[in-house]
Amino acid sequence: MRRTLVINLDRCSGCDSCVTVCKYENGLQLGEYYNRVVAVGPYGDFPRVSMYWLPIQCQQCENPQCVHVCPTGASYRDEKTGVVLVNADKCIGCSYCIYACPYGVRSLNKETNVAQKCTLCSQLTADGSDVPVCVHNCPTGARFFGDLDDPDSEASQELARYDDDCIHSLSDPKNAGPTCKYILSPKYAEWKEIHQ
Amino acid sequence: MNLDIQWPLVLFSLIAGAGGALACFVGISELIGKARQARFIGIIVAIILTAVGGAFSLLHLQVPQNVMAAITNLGSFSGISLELMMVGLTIVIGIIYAILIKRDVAAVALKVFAVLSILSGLVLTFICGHGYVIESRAFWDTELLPLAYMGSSLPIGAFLFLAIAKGMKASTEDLRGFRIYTIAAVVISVAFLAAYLIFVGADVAGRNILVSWIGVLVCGIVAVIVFLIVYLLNTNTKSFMPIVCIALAFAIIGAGSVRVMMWVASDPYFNAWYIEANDINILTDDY
Repeated sequence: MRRTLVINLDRCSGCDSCVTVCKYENGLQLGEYYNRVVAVGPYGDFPRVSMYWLPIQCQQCENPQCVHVCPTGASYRDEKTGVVLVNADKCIGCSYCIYACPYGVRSLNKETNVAQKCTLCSQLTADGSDVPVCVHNCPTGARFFGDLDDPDSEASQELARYDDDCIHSLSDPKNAGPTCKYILSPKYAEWKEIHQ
Repeated sequence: MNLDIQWPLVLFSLIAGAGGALACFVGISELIGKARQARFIGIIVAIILTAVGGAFSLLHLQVPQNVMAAITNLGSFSGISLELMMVGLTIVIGIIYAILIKRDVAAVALKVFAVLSILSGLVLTFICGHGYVIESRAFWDTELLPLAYMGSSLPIGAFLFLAIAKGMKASTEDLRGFRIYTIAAVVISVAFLAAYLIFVGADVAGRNILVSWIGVLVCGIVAVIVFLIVYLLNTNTKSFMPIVCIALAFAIIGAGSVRVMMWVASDPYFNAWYIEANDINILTDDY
């Protein structure tokens, strides 16, 4: 199973609702986030100028670098769901997972001093009965949650509506295997490979 | 965005690395049969340095007691696990070796532990940097990094042992016996410091002139070479200790600086939080 997010950038308006509801649901303090929405662009020459919004959170990698460096096994990939999680009771706050994440989406919880990240709202979704709050509350219906190995899941169904040239992942130079997929149709904007 | 400099980790790898390198030179002293009177105090200092360095690593944890969780998960063979193993192994070998030295046991047993001391000390200096070889950090993802950690520790061990040996009144002839090993330590150090500096590149290293150019290049490379030459050419026994101590000081500055430079060059592959928080255009802005 590969539970993850599919985010349709053709629909994303960059409103930050996903960021806001995530903070409420997960009780994140001021300055702490599980997801952010990054502006890509504008780019191109007038009058053909483009930009798009890129929501970024844990990419639920199949080969998670954060898990490989964890000295206590606190960071792990759930075998049943494929979701990368942190066992707070085992975390010693060494920060190596934060150093190792290629996408910079982990942080230390200022109150508990343990690593934290998007769990795909596992408190709501673990039994398969609900979806993450960012998906539920997206006003433009741009976010989809589900198992990529299940062709009937909402995530797989959304991907199936698009050609391969519309489906993208974040750059993956070291074979981390991010499962999160982004849909961006060339008629709206050209996908940009981004890294520092 | 770079990570903040993690001073407990800088001090851990610097001090524990110095302990490992000193243990190497105590072992070399045993194998070449020189400066016998410095071996016991040398290995005791090595044990203390390794233990103090290890203690600094605990300060990096959000709650130092959490180290117990790391100890109970040594089997993970993560960077931290390997560091803990090597700190423990170097200390245990050092303690046994110190006991054997004190009891003046058979030469074979001493030589065996001298070899073990050299091996564990060397591996410790390397392992102190190996945990940072992380794919998502462009300037960390190279074995040159732990090699620079190892190399920069070696002159500290060499000059520290020479200072201890001189302090313990080792003969001039005995001290001369360490010349080739001291040269080797400095050559290895200079080679790997220069290699890592070149790997990082002038642009990134230049972000912190004090650390990269003054600390690593001037102190860690140029000054250590200069004082190695002064040490080799010196014939005045009264000047021996000041020269060795100055060389030791420059070696410590160089080794500390390359560890700090690593944090200065901790650029991530991508950092969404920093980009969003600073309103950066990720396609055009230099960040």
